[in-house]
Amino acid sequence: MNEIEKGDDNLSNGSGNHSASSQSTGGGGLNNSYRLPLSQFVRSYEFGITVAFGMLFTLIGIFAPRFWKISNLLRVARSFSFIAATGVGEALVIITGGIDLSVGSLMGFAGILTGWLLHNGMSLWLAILIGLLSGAAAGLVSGILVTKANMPPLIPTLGMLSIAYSAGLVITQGIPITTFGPQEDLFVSLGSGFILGIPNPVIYMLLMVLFGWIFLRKTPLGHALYAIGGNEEACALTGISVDRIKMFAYAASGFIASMSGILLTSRLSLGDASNGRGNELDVIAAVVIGGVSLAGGRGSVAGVLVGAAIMGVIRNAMVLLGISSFLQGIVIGFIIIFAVLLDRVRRWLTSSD
Amino acid sequence: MDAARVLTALAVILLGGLTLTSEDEESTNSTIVKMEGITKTFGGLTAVDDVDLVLKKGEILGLVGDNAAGKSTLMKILIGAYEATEGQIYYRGEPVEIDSPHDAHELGIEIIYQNLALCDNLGVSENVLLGRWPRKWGLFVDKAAMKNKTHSVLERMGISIDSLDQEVATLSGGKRQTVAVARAISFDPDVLIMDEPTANLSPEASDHVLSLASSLREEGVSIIIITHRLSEIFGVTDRISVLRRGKLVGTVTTSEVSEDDVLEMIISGKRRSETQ
Repeated sequence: MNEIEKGDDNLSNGSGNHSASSQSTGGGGLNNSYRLPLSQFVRSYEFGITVAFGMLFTLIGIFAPRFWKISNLLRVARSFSFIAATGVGEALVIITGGIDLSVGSLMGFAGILTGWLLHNGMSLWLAILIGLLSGAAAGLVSGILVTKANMPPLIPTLGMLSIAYSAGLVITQGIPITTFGPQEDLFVSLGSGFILGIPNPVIYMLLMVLFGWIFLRKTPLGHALYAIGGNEEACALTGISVDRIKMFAYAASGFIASMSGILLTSRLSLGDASNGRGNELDVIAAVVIGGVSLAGGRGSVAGVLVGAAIMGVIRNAMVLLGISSFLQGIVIGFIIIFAVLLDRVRRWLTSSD
Repeated sequence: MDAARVLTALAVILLGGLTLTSEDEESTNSTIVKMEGITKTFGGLTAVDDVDLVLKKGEILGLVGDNAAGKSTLMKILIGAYEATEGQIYYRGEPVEIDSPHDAHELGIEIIYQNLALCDNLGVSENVLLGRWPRKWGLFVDKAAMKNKTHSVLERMGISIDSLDQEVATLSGGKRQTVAVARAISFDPDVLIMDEPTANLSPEASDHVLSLASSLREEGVSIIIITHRLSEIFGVTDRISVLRRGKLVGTVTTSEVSEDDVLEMIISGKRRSETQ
């Protein structure tokens, strides 16, 4: 390793920047360029919205001190945890340049299916496994239609939104499932329990974000998702199996949506088609506010977490400050537009230098 | 019946042997690629019409002609993106079937597309090793190895790029072309096709890319440069093949002709040197 770095130093003599930086680090000039320069991080979108979130966090606390109470913060975190976790799966799809509109309905359907199986006496882990597989299968079908039938992603996932919602109604016949068989206590505790004082859904969200981050940043498959979002044709020419990887992204999105949906059913101890309904829009908003480009190829799950947090915190603040809940949609709408606008301006500024 | 079979088999062996020996002669003549009688029709349109093209080992061949002369079509046949309607390709003297870019790749033929085929959102080293990112513990992308490998490819090309993390979108046209060349070079090709490598480049960047081609030739890479900017390739090519309306007008040795000679071939389809 050392030898390689020494060799690098020789070459870096060609450029002024390099030799300067290698002096400052005492050798390993190229190694210096291996790391993300601090200035690059500061200019990143994720950094920008984290600062914005910090300001929002401080400001709300000043006007409504109750906001800062740990119990309130944990409640807020739990409320947006389902959106953020589902957003991790959605981000995988959006990074490839696609979109998955079915996540909300899949949340509802998987919760109902697992709930119904439990209600009918199936053992807990098998019921959960079947619920998870139902979402993955639905996602896989969407992925196959996108890649093999060449459909715009909007179409199969919109179809799946409708199918999953309706299938949920067929199972419940419109009557919510409220009893979950012999293992009801264990099932309900999954979503409503705490570990070390932290609500389980919050831990679930943090784990999903951590897995998503490692997956996207560190694994070849994660890199391939970004590459496909950047230039699908180039990927195909260099032998990346574009279709299979896109199918995987949709299946993973469906899988994660079902996991969130099952946990939501457990948390509410209610299996109902209205669970998760409309959540796809909140999920996509969180992803977009979090800096994942709808054009594909850009963004991170850390951004998704902050995006979901910003929406969750604003909703809570409006309640605490006694602002009409009817206004929520307007505020969130402006934030979505403003966030994307901000990103456009930032990219315009960085590309001109 | 059996006798006829034996005879046929014998004939096949003999003929096969004959063609082999003639091809062996070809390869001693240092031909790496030979395209023979290539025709490609799209419906009723003949894009390439009975073209013979020879690329010698370690040379730079310019492939020129105006728009729709059939340059790109001919090269797409060579890399397996199109299937020739008629004709045969020989590689190192052996007849080969190139049915897909993968086949070409296996043979050691790489192409750099005019539109570069880069992922703008990724860094330099991720683009150079696109889809072939080195792994760590089989599971993760080994970024250090990725950069070392990219670095050694760039070093071989005599180039330094300040940050290998830098998004390709933020690079200049010349640097982007360098990244595209680096990707092709990372496969260690024997034959490199450059499709309009200087399109959209500043004069300085063009010079740079062309000198890159020259230094690759020094390493023994055989190169075909497709272009319509005649003046640029005069300095670097060994020979020039001219296509016009799908037909080969002729192939000339660069040092023996003037730019005007070649220009006339492109425009009129006649070869001035023939009349001499």
